[in-house]
Amino acid sequence: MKLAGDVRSGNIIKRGNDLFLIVKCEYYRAARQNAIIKMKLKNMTTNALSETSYTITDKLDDVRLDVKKMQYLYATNDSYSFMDQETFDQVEITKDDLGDAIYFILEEQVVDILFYEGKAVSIDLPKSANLKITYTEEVTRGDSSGKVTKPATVETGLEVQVPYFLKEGEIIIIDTTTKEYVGREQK
Amino acid sequence: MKLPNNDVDIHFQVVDNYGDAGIALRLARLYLEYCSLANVRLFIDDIQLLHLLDNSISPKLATQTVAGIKFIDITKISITEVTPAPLVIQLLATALPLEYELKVFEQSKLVIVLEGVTAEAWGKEVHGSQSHIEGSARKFFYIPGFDEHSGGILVGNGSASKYSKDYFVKENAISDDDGLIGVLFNYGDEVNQLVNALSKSEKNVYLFVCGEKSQKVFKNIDLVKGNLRLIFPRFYEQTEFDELLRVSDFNFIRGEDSLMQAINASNPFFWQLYPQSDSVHLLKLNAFIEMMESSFEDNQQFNNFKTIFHYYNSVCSLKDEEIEDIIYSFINNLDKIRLNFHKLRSKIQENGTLIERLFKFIEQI
Repeated sequence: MKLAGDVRSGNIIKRGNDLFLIVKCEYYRAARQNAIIKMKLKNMTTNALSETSYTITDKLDDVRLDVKKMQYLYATNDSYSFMDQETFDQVEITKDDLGDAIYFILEEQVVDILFYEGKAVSIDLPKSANLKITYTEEVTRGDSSGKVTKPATVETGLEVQVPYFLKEGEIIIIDTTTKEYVGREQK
Repeated sequence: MKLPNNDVDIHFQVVDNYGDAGIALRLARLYLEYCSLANVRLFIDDIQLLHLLDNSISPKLATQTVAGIKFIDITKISITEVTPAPLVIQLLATALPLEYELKVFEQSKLVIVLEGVTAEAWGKEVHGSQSHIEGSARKFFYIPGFDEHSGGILVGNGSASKYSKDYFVKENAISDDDGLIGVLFNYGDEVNQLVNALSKSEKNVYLFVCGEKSQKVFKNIDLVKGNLRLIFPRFYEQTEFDELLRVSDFNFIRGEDSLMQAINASNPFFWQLYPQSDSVHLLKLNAFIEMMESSFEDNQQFNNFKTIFHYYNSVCSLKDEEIEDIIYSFINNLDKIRLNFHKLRSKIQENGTLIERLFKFIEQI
């Protein structure tokens, strides 16, 4: 059993007799420190897509799959390629199956690839990822109009809300479940 | 979806204080008002708070029925032995004990996770979305809000109005018929500047400082200052406090339950939110302010409100003269400003109340 608040894109959950790949997680902060997670799921047998929502305290049946460390090589329009660093075997995972996980991997990075019945199906992401801000507007002090954050785009194309004082080039830590800013990387 | 009957179990775990418990009591009352033949059960872990909001609810009994609602102190019963109603509401996402949750999923027909009210875009995104559960029941998220894409707001308390302005004026020995009545429920330091600004009003202002914590904030402030007199009333039960918001001229309120009742009262109000980690509550505040804007005819008046809303939630600080100017303008234009709040109420309620919309929602799923 795993709490819904601890799962992220790329994880596999079991519902009834079926396995589902979590393709996308949208995380919403609600009242009383609660949060709601809206997920896009792919049935691993039928490939059918569906949506469901959970509170962070809901319990889900997570599934342990075979894991292999592989290096992310490159992406094409539809798929991402990874290489086994010992055997040099390469596998591809479709962009659709990777879902939001594509926002947390960089070329040459070594990641945990999940295998189901011998086929690479997704990435087991770490809890957080360190990524560089490539674009954000400069906000001067006193110009925040009651807003405490501003949008910033990181090197993988993900847009996150960050404190208004952060600048381009800074490396930030992002929670891979919530896709929210956690902090600045310590220099 | 057709339920076998309208019986409902409302589950609520107290996290903060009587503000949230007030929502639970209100939901139970309004549900029963709408479905007078339904068995309405409210399961709560701190019944003492309900006793504060309604003295006829005993703080000691494990189970009791008051005004048609069965109140159950969940700390004094074995919940797993309870047969769940066809409709189970997890209010403010109250979690059910795991063993009981499995029973609910098997034996109930519908589970509604009823969240806090919000004007944020995510509320509309999540409102009505389904959650997969293992069992024969179906489970949905229901998000109260302010437009047709949300779940509406909880207004009223199931009782007809029975108190006039006179009731509060006489009880608190106010002899001035022309003075303005304001309500203030606030835990922060902003009150010092607000009180100073109100004291410079051209009209007499009687400010009802409600709630024990609010009254503590004021303990070192003069009760009479300029044209302002501070009133420290007794603790008002829910039905009385709703009426006070309705008969007053303006309200400084705190929390979501009071927000919904202040909207219903349609008197000008300023809203202070309960702070959340990472200042998430400010996103909710800004979404609410943005939603309010279309109800204001006058941009300057709206900007004044926006400024005080931000100030009242510690988003910004103001110089004494800035706040005095805004409050002076506010008091002198109260009648005109009230029209904006009438418009706000009409706009929010044109799609029905939360209970009406909940029943429509159930019909449609």
